[in-house]
Parts: sequence; structure tokens; C-alpha cells
Amino acid sequence: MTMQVNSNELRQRVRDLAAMPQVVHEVLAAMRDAGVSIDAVAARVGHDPALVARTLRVANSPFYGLAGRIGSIRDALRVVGLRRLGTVLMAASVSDCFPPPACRGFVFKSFWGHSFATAICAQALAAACHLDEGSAFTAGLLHDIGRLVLATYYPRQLEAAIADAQLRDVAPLDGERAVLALDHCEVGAWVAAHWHFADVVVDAIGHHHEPPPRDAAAAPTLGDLIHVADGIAHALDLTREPDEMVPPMALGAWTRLGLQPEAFLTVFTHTELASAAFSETLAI
Amino acid sequence: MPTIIDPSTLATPEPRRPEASADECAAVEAAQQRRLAFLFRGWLRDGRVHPLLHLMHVYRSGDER
Repeated sequence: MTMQVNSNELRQRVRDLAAMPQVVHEVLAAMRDAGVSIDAVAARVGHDPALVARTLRVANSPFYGLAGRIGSIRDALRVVGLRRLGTVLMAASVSDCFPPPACRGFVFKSFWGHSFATAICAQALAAACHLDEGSAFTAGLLHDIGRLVLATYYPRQLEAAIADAQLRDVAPLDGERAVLALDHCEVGAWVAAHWHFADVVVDAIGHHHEPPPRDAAAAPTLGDLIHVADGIAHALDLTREPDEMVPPMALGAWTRLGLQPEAFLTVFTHTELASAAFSETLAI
Repeated sequence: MPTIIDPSTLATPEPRRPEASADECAAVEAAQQRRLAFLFRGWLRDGRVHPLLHLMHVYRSGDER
């Protein structure tokens, strides 16, 4: 039995995915608008009972110390904050599309743990580099979504790819390319495009393991940033997966960020601390 | 004349764990460095030189000189 994935069939499966709810895009846009009011966002979220329930659940989580005392969506937004709400809604929408897949070697909890860590790290790097923090967070959170798609629709094939990478002790990407004849980066880019994320986010997801080579003195791109954030998140070893491996990192992408060692060390600390808090809050 | 008692002498001392020995600290640090070598095994195998590897050693050892 060939383990190669039919690219056209997979593209059709991606096209059949549920659309990202418009409210998620609206809240993400609101996160970038300093003038937006909580009332306006609360009114928008209030139209969707599932989102209301999810937001209230987060606001009433032990993390905020008000368990069981938040009853309105407006109060929930005040507690959770607009920025985190965008994260909650995006993560909730994605997890609604993809329940935990039955694929040996693919650990759902670790997948999300790494995705959140990369998002947090990317956001911190973006702040230090004066790039858009919202796009960095979104691209970081979704950078490995192609892997979740493969685990969901082609679990036996991804199992074979994981086993191949483990046997040869190479990065998972190499196992995917050898066994599936495609990789999670291109699949992730298809998903992000299907969900109508900005081209810059789609490109960053599609090239997060191999950002296009450019002059080291050029301005950093979102692709550079996600590439570096992904490597840092692996290096911080937050999921403690037994076969964890830091993927190769392009020196040019690191250099283009233009950050001093002290700035990176600060980002490491922030990522470690904030990742633990996020995972607890979202309880995925 | 009443005897003045110093309240601090009445306080029950907080139970404290013995401080970690230098050997114990060294063992933890060595384990962290071994884990780093494992995480970066692909880089080390390829002879890859990159600031991230150095910075992670600095970060895990707490030696930020």
C-alpha cells in the first residue's frame, strides 16, 4: 500500500472544511484597532451562542480567580481581554473543525501546546521587531495546522511518516516528504488560504521551515519571525515530548530580526511563563 | 514590673527543606545540558553553528555573562 497522499484529494478535503466564522475575523481585526469598544465586540459575539458559552467558560476558569461569578458576555470580555478573546475564538473554531485524531505518534495536547508557545513567542518577537503582533500570533498559532489536517484525514500515512522520521532520527518534515510526497507546510498554507487569512499569514505558514533566502540585512518578514519562533518553541522543550527535536534554523532569518541576545533571552522567559498560563486558560 | 516578651521568640520556626547541595545543583544543570544536546542533536550531527544553540545553553545554565 502506497503511503503517498493524493494532493488533489487533500486539496478537496481542505476546500470542504467549515469556514472560519466571520466573527473570528472581526474580533481579530478588532484586536488591531485600538479604538474598538468592548460593547461593540460583545454585541457581535453575543449573536453566536456557542461563542458566548466558550467565552464565559474561559472567563470563569480558575485562572482568573472569579470562577462561577461571570454571567454576562460584557463582563467576560472585561476579564478575558480582547486580545485573548481573539485567541480563544480562533482556537475554539479550529478545535471544533478537528477533534483529537487517532494517529499514533501525533499527540493532540502537545500539538496545541507547541502551537500556543509558538504564537506567544512570535508575538513577543514581533513586539521587539516592530512587526504586527496580531498577525504574528495568528500565524504562530496556525503554523502547524497542516499536521493536524494530515493526522485527521490521513492518520495511517502520517503514522508511517512519523515512524520513518523516528527511525532515521530526522525532523518530522523530512519523514513527511519522504513518505507522503508533501509536507505539513504546504497543507497548512492551503488551510489558511481557505480560511481567508491574509496572504502574509498564508506565506508565513507555508514557508515556516524554509523561509525564502534573502539578504541578511533586509527587513524581517513574518515568515522569518514564525520560522525563528517555531525553533525557539521547540528548543524550550515545553511539551517534553520524548523524541523532541529542534528543526534546522536559517541563520539569515535569525539575523534579519536584528535582536540582541538579551532581547532573545527575555523572549525565552516570557514564552515559558505565558505558555503555561495560556494552556491552563484554554484547557484544550 | 511585667516581663516584656519578645514576640519573635515565640514564633514557631518555619520548617525548611535543607538547601540543595552544590552536587545536586550540578547534577540538575548537567541533566539540562544533556537534554539540550538531545534536542539539538540534528544540529550537532551536522556541525551547525547558530546563536540559538549558544543562547539556549546560556539560558539553561543561568550564566548570562
